[in-house]
Amino acid sequence: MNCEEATRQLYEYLDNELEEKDYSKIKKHLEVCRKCCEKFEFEQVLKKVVRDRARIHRVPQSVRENIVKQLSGRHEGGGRAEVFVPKLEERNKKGLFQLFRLRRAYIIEAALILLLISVLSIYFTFPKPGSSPPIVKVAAERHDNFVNDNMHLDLVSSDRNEIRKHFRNLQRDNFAIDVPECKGRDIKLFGCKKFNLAGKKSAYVGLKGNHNKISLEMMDGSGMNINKLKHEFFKGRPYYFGRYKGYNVVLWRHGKTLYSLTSKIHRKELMRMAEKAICPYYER
Amino acid sequence: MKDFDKPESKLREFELDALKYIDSLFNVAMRMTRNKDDAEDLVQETYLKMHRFLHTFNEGSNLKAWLFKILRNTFINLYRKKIREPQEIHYGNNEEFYLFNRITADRTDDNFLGKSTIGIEEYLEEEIKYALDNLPLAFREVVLYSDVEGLSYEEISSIVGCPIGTVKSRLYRARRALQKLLWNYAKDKGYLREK
Repeated sequence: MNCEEATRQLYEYLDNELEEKDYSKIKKHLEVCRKCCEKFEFEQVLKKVVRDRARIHRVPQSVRENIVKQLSGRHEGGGRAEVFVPKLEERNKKGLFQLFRLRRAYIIEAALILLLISVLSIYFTFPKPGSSPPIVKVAAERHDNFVNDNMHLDLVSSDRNEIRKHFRNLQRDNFAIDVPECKGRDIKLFGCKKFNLAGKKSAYVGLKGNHNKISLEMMDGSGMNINKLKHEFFKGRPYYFGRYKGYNVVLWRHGKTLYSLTSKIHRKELMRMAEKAICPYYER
Repeated sequence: MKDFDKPESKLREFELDALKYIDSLFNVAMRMTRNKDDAEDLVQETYLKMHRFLHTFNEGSNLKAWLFKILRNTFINLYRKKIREPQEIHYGNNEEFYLFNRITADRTDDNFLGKSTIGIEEYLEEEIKYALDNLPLAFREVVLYSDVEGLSYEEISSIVGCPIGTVKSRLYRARRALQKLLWNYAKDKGYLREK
């Protein structure tokens, strides 16, 4: 073994990737060659320095807890489904057997109802071609109206109390959403409107930034499925997002309420806004 | 008796094993994204994906390497950055073992400020971080996997999806580039003075 051969395998030696035979050959050479020994030692120390200096981060406790919560939450959901499914099957079976004991007219009636249910369920389960999730589409279309001033907002005020007053009637009507105060300096409440979305009472709030109009929608008790949308984590919270008509729509849930922000602004910016200006309000 | 109210007790053994690597993943995520918020998100997303792709994991294969692979793919997908193989640059013989050659060469003349030599042990967190962050991603990741996380060439090859030979040569070039950056950084900061 000469110096050239030894240095060619320097890193493999230090990374412990050599077979016993080659390893001991180099080791023998290092015992007799001072020049190589110095070189090897230097590289070994540098490897250690890099390791020690770069291994400094511990994941924050809150992130760890979030992950644990999410993983165990998923098990909980799965477990519940396993308990419920057999019960439902049982009930169905019983119902079917009873059918045979009934008169013919009832059977026809029941069959028609079953047919109707299956047609409806097929209609609702299979996505219509080209349709994006309705929430993204509706949010973007409404925002389009808002930007082009076609949408009449019921109130133009940046005062949160004014807006709460506006929603007071709705609240009596089991409308549980409270309008968040926007903490951002550059964002002002512009106006608001009540409306229905898929039969759910919702609040629509227009916000005005420095250059952009932004819409905030809040749907109470929305079971709307946004899980099919792409999502991204921002400060530990999953945000779902979609695009329609050139607008970015960012959605998130808090409790039973679904929130969405719509604007031309980049979604990263929208998530930052949600995090800074809207979420702190309901997490007080 | 197990405490079943604690969320951790609901996790499967597999997930508890996976959670042992959380700091390692975060460390690599920090150097990949260079940003704490992004690193936190990346680690969370990695564990969610792990849960989703559990069925693709072969029992008995390397869990740590698998997690790093998920982290890496998630990073590439999220940030849409291509980890391309860096162009091979041919250095002269003197460029090999860059830092060592520079330091030993300079040791012989007295052209140094203050100390007669800079000991590599004196490199601080900030300098190593600077050097790592300035490496191209394909270089940075192999140094992280090998030097910082102590993974084998085989594990690295499964993470980055390259043959072992490529991992070897990439590591070699990465270390050389890292040394060059460390040298230049020390020089710029005035720790060293060149003739």
